[in-house]
Amino acid sequence: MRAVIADDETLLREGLARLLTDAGVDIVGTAGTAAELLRRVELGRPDVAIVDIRMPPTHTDEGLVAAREIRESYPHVGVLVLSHHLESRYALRLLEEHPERSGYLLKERVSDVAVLVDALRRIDEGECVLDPTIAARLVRRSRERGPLDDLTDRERDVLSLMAEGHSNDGICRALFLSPKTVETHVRHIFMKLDIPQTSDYHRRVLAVLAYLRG
Amino acid sequence: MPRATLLAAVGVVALGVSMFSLDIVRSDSGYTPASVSAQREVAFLLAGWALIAVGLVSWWRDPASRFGALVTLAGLAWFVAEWNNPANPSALAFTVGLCFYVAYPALAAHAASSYPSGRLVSRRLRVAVAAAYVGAIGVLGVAPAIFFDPGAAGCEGCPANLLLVSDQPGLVDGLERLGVVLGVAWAGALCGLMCVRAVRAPVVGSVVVPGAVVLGLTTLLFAFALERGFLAHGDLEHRLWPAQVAAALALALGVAWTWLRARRLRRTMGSLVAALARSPASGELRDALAATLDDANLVLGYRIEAGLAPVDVHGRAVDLTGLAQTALVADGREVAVLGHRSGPLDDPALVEQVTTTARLVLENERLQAEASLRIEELRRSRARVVEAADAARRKLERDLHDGAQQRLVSLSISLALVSSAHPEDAGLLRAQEELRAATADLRELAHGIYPSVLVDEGLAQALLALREESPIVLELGALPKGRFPPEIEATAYAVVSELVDMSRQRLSVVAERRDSALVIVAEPDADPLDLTSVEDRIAAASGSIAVVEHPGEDRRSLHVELPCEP
Repeated sequence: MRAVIADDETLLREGLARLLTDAGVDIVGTAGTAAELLRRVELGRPDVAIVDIRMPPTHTDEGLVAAREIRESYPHVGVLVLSHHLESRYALRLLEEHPERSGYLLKERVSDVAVLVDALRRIDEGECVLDPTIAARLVRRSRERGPLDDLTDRERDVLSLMAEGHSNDGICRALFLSPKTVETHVRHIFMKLDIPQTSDYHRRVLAVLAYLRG
Repeated sequence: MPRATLLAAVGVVALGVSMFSLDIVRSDSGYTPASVSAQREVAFLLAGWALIAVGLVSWWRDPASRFGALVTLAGLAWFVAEWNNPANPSALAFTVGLCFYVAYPALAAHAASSYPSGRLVSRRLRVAVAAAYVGAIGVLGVAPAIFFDPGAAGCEGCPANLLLVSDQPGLVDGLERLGVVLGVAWAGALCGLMCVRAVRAPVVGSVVVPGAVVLGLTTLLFAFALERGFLAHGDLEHRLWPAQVAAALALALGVAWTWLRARRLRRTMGSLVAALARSPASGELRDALAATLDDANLVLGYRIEAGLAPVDVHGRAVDLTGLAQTALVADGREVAVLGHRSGPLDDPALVEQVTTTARLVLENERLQAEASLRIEELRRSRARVVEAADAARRKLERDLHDGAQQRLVSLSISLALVSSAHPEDAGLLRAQEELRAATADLRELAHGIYPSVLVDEGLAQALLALREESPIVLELGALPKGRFPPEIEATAYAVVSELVDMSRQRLSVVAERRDSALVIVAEPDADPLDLTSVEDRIAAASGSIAVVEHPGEDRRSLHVELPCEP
């Protein structure tokens, strides 16, 4: 798998590059600014771009803007946005516009190379990825007594993984369940939450996120 | 003698004098411009009578002022000017005429330039008026009369000159020539001085300006007589005479006009007193003054602090640009300043009356203005404290994110690199776990310090984010889309955040932009409700909070209004 890394911290950028190289990812370029990132993507044609959301000049959401541009100009290049923001708004904004090949992880995940590589692989396979902490926050958040209370504990686990962007296969692997069991759980969840069923995997993720956030 | 009797006596004498003069004018044979036609005779009488009438009335109205007497004298002098006419049947009157035939312009100048007190206000005017009397009555009147024998001068029908001591035609010629030259000087000087006074004190203009015209015409007559060496009735004098009548009438009308103005002033003050008697609420004094002075845009300000703009009763700065300004001064101290259209307050008497009448209310409003100003200063300083605290928290949040957290992430990568080279080292793995936990802790800490989403994306997004982590049910209704000033957003967020902490299980919040304010309606389920800290924040942003009870429904809502310019 080929990847580029964009982060304005040189030390972090180069460290991450070495870490991923050791894990077998082919780093075809690194960038310190959004413009440089776009050039690296154009030249290196990576499978995934890893982008820090805070980049010069304003250090707010330049990375997110660049990620969006990559998804629009290079549909085959996935993006993984790294952020300090715990709130779901930036993540949802990215995933709503480009649910395929997009991911949003908290910055601190980068040291856990297994999680990082797993996210990159899933994005490369066309899935979307949402940080488990953010997904858990949405599932857990206080709300009126409602359909969520009717879910069983197992169904809740499945819902969390769906919110993180896992496909049924991914959920199977994560919970050690058979595909048939997962399918039943998913069907029950959709029925209880009154979310319209769809065969489209990405639509399903978005519907879950919208339900959780709304 | 009682005043009424004296004035009546003067009036009777004046009537007699005028009739006697009319007789002379009627039997004139070319010595006066007042004769020739019935119109001229009527104009002659009207001008003199008008001056005497306004003189007597002024005298009656204000006996302490010499002005009325001076105008009356000027009117008499207008008639006496004809008494040196050869047609004068009386030797005594003829002699008086010889002495006083030029007294009218001197008296008119004295009267007009001394309005309204009858005292001359400047040294220059006193000198000029004295020179006028010396020139008109001394050099041109009494002095030549002593040496003038009308008979010897060829006037067969002239009455006798009772003052005659010795016939000296040469001396008389010289004196008259000197008098004419002096006349140009004093009449011109008085005309100029009166013009200056009219410009400096426009309020006395209705009297001083006609006076200046009278003296201007006199200057012209003297100037034309320079070559001839004496005053006489020539073609030019004949043609200028209607202007002299008009100027005399204008002077009389100008005096009458001041009475009308005084009446208006009294009425004005009457309505102001009536308005103030209703003990106006704060701020209504301006309205009362605006109505009294008939100036809707009138601005009433109080200078509380030197160097700062004047403020109104509520402590708000008032704008005086483009307005005429008048200070209301009491006991030598400025109480207030009025911004107004030019005109109505040109009269110093009016300004003084306004100040005296409204003094108590003005002082009271001034104290209120000062108190309001102090309160406003206090509020501003509180807002600054809140803002500074917010800014410090925002900076801390950024520093933690961009500094400490970045370093921890870099460190965790370094550690991961080391760890991958020594996969058997359990201590390294444990360190990595610790570091990960520390990073998560720091993230939570930084997040709680200040919500960066509020700065980046505004109130609505910040409230949605607040809901994601709120330990209670936070129901959000309609939220405003646009942005508000940072301090308003910070206050609104802080208020909702405080209410979340206060509520037991649920809190519903609706926010909207209404006119130029952010209105938040919140329904917390807390009981009792301690709003002290919320109120402090809201007050610092000049906002207001009201608790609305819903009787019979066992609920109540908080209405918070935060003013902000749209």
